[in-house]
Amino acid sequence: MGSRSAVIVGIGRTAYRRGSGRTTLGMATEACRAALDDAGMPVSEVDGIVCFSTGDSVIPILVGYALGLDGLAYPLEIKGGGNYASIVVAQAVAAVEAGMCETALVYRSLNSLSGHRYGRVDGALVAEGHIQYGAPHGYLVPGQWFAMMARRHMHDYGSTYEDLGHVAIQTRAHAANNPHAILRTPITMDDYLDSRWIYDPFRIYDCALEADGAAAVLVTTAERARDLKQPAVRMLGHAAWLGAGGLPDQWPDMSALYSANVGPRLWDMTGLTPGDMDLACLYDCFTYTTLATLEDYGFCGKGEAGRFFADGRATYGGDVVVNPHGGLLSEAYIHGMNHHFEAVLQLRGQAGERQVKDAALCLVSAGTGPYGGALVYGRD
Amino acid sequence: MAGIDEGDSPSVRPQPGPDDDSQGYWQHLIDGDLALQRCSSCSRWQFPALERCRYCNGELRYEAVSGSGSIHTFIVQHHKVAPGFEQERPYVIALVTPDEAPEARIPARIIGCSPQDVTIGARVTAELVEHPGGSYRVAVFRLAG
Repeated sequence: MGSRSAVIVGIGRTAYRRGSGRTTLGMATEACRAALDDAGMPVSEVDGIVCFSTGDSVIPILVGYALGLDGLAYPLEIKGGGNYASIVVAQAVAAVEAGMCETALVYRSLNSLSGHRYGRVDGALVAEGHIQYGAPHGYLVPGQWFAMMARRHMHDYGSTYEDLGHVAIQTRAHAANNPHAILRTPITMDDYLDSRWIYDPFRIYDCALEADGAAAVLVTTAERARDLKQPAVRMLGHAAWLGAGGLPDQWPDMSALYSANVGPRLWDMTGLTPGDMDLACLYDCFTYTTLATLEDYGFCGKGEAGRFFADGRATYGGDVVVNPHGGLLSEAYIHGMNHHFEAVLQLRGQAGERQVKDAALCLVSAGTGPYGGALVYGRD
Repeated sequence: MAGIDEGDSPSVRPQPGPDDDSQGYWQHLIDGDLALQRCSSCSRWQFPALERCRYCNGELRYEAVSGSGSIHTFIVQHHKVAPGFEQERPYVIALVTPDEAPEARIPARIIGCSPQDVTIGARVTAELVEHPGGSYRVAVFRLAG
């Protein structure tokens, strides 16, 4: 114990739909079985399951039960949103490396369209916790908090609505090559600017595509991985920062995100640079998250991300391919776990029409506002 | 302490749910003051409310602020995210920094103006208004002068 290493050996997912008609348990179980099938590993070897949850979800021990397991040595459910979508993978790797379990599944399962909606509240509400101050003014959903930050970025760095539009347009163009993506029809800047306001500075095309589904990754020891079906993918480093007590309005510099703290730590830890990344699966609950994290992780300077997208530097033939699957904006809002699926698929060279040539290193980020994390995956 | 009215008409705006740390904030509004916590040891302001000062663990007391401040950032709310604002939309929600408490950013509606008139850095003045659907009052802001 202590010196063994863990790698990613399998990925799985359900169909992503606008209305699943299924339970989060049923979808989590399917995604987990798919990850095991992908690896060619029997379910009986799983002794750890990790997930994060907010809104609707399902607990790891129940997924283990539905998979036919008698119990789990390492079940862990982290309370939180997409800001934990990298921490859960890092946690599974750490648990396997520490010998607390041998093989761990990591999943996110949610009905973000037909079940719990993050973007609105229906009916009477007594607002508790930090939303008690804003909710009486109709200020209580995450997109509003991050729109506040986007406005501040526009003020401080001169970014524009069109900059956000370039992110939406490029992300959709990528989704057009992904049969698993829900929205695949390309959009133009006119389409973007004509789309309806949600909370200015965000229009509908700036917001994640609420959808239903599940995605999973499978982690086990590098030694065991040698006998499995797929080439292994390794996590080369992980960093996170969950700041301001989770109070978005109190984040000191509203024109930056958590990533301003995570980026330097991640590059320092891995000895890599943004220029080394072949692709980046950037958490994109809103276009602004892509824009600000691209800057914070050092792919370009502050206020330059819109131009970076407009100039084709975020796609094939450019500096780094950002969200080749279409991200949360166009593939589906699977809370960031779909980014891990895409990263592993690309690094295995199995992404078909949208394959990033010779993809060897991928940044995957998770979260926005004051809280999030990121990791780098590389081919083992 | 004020409470929510009986019934849950879908058009009722969200009501505050005070806790033991924040009830003073809401009670001061009912009594006619916008008041924030301030540390009796290090004098720093604290918002949102906590039990003790997060900087020095000192005792917190509520202290009224003038209600003058500036807009740190804002959004224009077009889409329905909560019931009760059908007549207001589109309307401006801002994070307001009170002059006395630069550490604090208070979320509130900006009333009495067109969204086009609102800018970051604009000066604002608080006004306390009844909150429909219960017996609370909230602070809203108007552009100054």
